[in-house]
Amino acid sequence: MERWSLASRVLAGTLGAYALTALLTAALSVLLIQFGVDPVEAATGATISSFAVFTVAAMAVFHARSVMKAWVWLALIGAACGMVVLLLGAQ
Amino acid sequence: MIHVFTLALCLAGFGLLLMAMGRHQQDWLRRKLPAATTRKMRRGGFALLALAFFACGSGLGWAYGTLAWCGWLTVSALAAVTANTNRERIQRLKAKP
Amino acid sequence: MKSTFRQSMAWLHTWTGLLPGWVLFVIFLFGTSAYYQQEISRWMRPEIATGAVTPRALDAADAVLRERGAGAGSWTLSLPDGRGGDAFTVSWAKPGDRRGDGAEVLLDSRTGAQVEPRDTRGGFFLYRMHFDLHYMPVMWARYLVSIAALAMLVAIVSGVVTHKKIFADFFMLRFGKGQRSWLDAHNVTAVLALPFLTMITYTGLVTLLFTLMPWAISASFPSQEAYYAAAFPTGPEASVTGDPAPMMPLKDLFARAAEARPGFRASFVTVNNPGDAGATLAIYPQVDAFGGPRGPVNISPVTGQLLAVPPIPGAATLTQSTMIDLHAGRFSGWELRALYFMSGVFGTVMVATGLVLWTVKRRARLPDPARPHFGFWLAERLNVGVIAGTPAGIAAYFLANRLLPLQLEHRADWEINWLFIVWGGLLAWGMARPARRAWIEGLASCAVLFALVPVVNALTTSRGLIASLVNGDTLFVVFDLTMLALAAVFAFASWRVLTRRAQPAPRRKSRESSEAFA
Repeated sequence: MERWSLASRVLAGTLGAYALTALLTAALSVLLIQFGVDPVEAATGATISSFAVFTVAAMAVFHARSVMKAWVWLALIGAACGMVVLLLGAQ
Repeated sequence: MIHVFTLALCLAGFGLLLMAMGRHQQDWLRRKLPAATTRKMRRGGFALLALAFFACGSGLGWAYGTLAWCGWLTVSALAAVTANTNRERIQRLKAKP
Repeated sequence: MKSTFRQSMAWLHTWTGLLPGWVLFVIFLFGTSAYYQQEISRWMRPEIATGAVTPRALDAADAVLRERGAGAGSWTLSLPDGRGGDAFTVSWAKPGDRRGDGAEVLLDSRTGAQVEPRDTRGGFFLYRMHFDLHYMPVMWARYLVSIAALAMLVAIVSGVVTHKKIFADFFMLRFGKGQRSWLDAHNVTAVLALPFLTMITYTGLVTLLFTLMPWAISASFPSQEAYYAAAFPTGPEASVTGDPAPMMPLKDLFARAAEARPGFRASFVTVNNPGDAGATLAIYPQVDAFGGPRGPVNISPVTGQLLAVPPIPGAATLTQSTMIDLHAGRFSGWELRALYFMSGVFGTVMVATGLVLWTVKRRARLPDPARPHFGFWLAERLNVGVIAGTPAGIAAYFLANRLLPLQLEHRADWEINWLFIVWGGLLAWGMARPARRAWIEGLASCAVLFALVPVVNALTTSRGLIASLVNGDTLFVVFDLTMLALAAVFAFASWRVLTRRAQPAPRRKSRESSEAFA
């Protein structure tokens, strides 16, 4: 049980935090474009800040009281960002 | 020249900061300095580091100066750590002139 | 998970530091040496002179290209900067050839006379190894390096919040106290160089910006190509008109570029369709100005008119290029370069002491220290093989530069192979020997190899330490002395391991300090 909980947390803190960062970065970029920022600028700026986002996300997951809670938060924020990308993203 | 000046200020600053800590006062002076003196030393130490920043930045340009200042901070902190690590050796040298 | 914030962060710090730790050591070591890549190249190419390209050499290059590169589809010139290390390289390729397929001539940057330096990749290889590694596809290497750097960023932040006595312990470095000393050394190197380490890790991630995080491009552009087309607009499209037209002298074209952009100094030049009325020329600036422009000046080599002015970068792009400049430090004068190098050494030592600390801490708790579990065994052996093996490999690279026959086929590749032969050898040696013996022998091999570099240099060139001292050749003197200093450091480290008394198991007196990094 302990072991599975740790494995789940490591997964959430690495790939989960990465996926969240990816979605957040993409969403930030398309939002900035929506507000009239030059696309190259938007993508560059969002990506520069992404590494800080990942650091905070990973630390938050590893500190969360329960792994389930961490997964739920990751999924909620990720889904919101995913919606933004789907609605506004370039196709 | 600016580099030497910055280094000198940083060395003095870290020297004061080192001596503004109770445990190091005990080690070096065998007594604790009064709280007021300690506070003045700490403020003086930070003031010297800030002065070094302004000297370095105005002399070398703010971007370049900030980088150099960070580097000299590391050098002078290392000097303070080295002195502190070799305290007994230094005190023995001073004891027999 | 562990109950308190500090405990969970300590756990995170331990594992984000350990798992990519050996890659981080390699990145730090090669990156640190790369601050002196031009100087290392100068030492590794003793045949060529140093100095910026003179007008005389530029005229010579012009003549070579007009005479031997007539009818070529493109010309390129690569101009060394004032730090030297590279020859002034002139090349040309037939129409339709890829760049690099054509012929190439190396010139002395001062006289313009043809030179033939030994075949080596010099300091440039150490720089590329820093993020491209070797013997593997470049993209894989960059993914690996980016992941390691991201883990490092997490390790830095979690390390800072874990270290509760960061100011109380600021000046503390106690030797000869076993685990406590390793922790002190790790803390001191990390805390004293913290501004640099944070900056270098973050800006390092930004240099490989879209490697790990391409998703903003995927979401904002129809394709990767669309992004690159928008971000790096190519110069005016060259079209062959078929009408021959004489080209202005390169010297005058360079003067035009300097008029267009004050203070401009060329680093790389391409000419498309030379000799044709539709020829184009792009001159790229030297990258040694802080936050300076990076785009080329495009000129028609026939009329001397400016063809396109690169767009002024926006705030984010400017932030990116400034961060890259901060990372590489190419704009540094010698004082700041030395500070960069020293900070890099701090980073390297911080990673090494962190790796050793992990094993020192766990060795005391092993149920049977003579037969540790596999994970411990592997970490301990990788420590020897990487921390002692990699510097030994670099020393071997320098030695191979002097010892390999000049006519050897693929000579430059063999220099690099020797780096990995010696490194791999020490890695294997470290696996086969008892840990303590492996440390002693590995560090001693480093010392011997570095001490041999000035000796072999004196025997194989006319620029040994004594001759360089007499001739006032500062670079060669400093290089040889650095090698001797490194030899002394490794010899001292080896001797310390040899004479170290067996450490008593750490007592539980200072519980809080041993818990700080559990």
